[in-house]
Amino acid sequence: MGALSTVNMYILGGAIFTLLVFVLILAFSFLRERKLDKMCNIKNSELLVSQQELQAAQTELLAVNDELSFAYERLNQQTNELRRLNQLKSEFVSMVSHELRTPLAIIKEGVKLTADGTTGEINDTQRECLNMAVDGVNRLSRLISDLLDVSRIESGRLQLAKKSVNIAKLLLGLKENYKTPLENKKISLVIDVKENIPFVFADVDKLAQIVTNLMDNAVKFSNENGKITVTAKTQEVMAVDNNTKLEYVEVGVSDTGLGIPREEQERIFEKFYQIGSHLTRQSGGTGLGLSIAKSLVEAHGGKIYLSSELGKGSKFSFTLPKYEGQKESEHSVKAEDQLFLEERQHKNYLTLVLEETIKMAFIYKTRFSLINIRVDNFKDLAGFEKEIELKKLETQVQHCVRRPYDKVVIDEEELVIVLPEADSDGGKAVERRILETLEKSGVKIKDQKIWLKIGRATYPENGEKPHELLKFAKDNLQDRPVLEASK
Amino acid sequence: MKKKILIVDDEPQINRMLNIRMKANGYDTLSAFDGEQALEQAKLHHPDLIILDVMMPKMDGFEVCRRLKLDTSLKDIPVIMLSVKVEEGARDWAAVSGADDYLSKPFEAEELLEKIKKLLK
Repeated sequence: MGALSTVNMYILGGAIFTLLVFVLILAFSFLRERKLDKMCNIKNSELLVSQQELQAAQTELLAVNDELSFAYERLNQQTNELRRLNQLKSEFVSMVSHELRTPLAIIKEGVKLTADGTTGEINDTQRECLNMAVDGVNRLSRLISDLLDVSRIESGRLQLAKKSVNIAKLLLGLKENYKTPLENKKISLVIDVKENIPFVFADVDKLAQIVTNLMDNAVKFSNENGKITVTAKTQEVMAVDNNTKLEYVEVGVSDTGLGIPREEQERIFEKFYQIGSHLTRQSGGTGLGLSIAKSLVEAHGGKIYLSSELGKGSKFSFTLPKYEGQKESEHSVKAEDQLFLEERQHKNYLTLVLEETIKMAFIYKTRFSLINIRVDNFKDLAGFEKEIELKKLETQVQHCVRRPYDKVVIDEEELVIVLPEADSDGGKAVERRILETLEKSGVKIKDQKIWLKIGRATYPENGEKPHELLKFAKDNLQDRPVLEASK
Repeated sequence: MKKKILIVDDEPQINRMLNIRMKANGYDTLSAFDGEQALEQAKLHHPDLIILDVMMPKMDGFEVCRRLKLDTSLKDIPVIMLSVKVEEGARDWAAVSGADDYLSKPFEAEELLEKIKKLLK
């Protein structure tokens, strides 16, 4: 019994111990679970907060997004507005220069008719006065030319017709061109140019303009009995990106004139900058010559420099790339184009030109007819977006389509639509409307020969040259439809 | 016999002064003030030379010139185009429309007279 009870005692003890351990484990795990629960709860609420925060952030982002797209929209509007204003400015400059030149031509011819005695004898003093008036008119017309050039350069509408130019010949001709002004101021001109100087790759008119601007200044700022030296030499420059050498021709025009003070040398190429106001009146320049020369040189890929010492004289030099068989700019109607023109003569094109201004539309009409494309209809299209304008346009398109046979068929005819502003929203609206109208009129765009030419903005004074419009016509009128039917 | 020059310019002053200048240099003159008139006058009087302005209402100088050059009875009359030098391509367009020479305004009377002399030879 005793032994058994001892054993029992052990067993009981073991059981109690096991139970205890079990209870302990249970209690522990219960506690742990509670703690976990609690932690979970905390985490949960934390997550909730984060989610709320995220939501808030998202709302904020959406708001920012809205704001951004609003800003973008506004920027877009402003860009369009700027583009419109810029065009307006260019048209204004071209209009003003045209309007100014005509009365200038009248004044000049009127004065000259009297000055040269065509209309009767006059005395020497009278002649002197009238000749001064002619000089004044000449200066005014130069100023207008300069302003027009600056406007072209600034708006990026400068066009260069580059080809190989014999620069030696051009420079050697200066002696003859400047004969009278040189004699008047007793200035000697030395042209130190070797005949074998390489040709340059340049627009010959612009090059002449650069040289003239520098020469005019040299003459203007030279004292009596001064000396002007014109030089030309080759120059090698290492290309930035590789090890090839680029060859340039450097032209220098130096004078023995007043010289330019150091502090003014940097500003001399600025627009309207003139050395010392006391000289301005005396020299009678526009203050644009050097700025134009600089832009023209840079447009050719060259550079312009000045070195000058006060009281001793100045030297302006510029570089131009040597002609190395570069492809020359086309600027004349070639034989194949001529053939194209002749073929066109037997076809009957129907061209609808949509233009913002009647003047531009008129210019297009004339230009197209010059390359044998008959323009039957054109329209003054102001304010693309307006519904009333679109309605008018519809009628115009319908009219255009129906015109030849009074039925909705374009038979042997081809319809060309020129829509310069098609990049803009207004232009797109017009484009859509034209397509709709054509479809409504029963014209199957795919089967018929209709071309919609879009995206050409241009200015009257920068009107296309013949070869450019020809290229446009060839690209668009040959037998491949640019536009397929939109279903 | 005096050579006959048709002067086409919508600016009455320029037209008149060109008349004075041409007469003073021994030419007979005719005047037209727009494109349509120019074509009429050319058909009616067959001038020896035409001085033709570019920018005119109704029909511009390029178009007038093109029509003159398409007309077999008129195409041999030399045409000098006068344009305000605003349009860069004007010289090229003058050539395409068949003009024999081109001068920009304001022009030098001496240059114009020289061109006329050359074309009338």
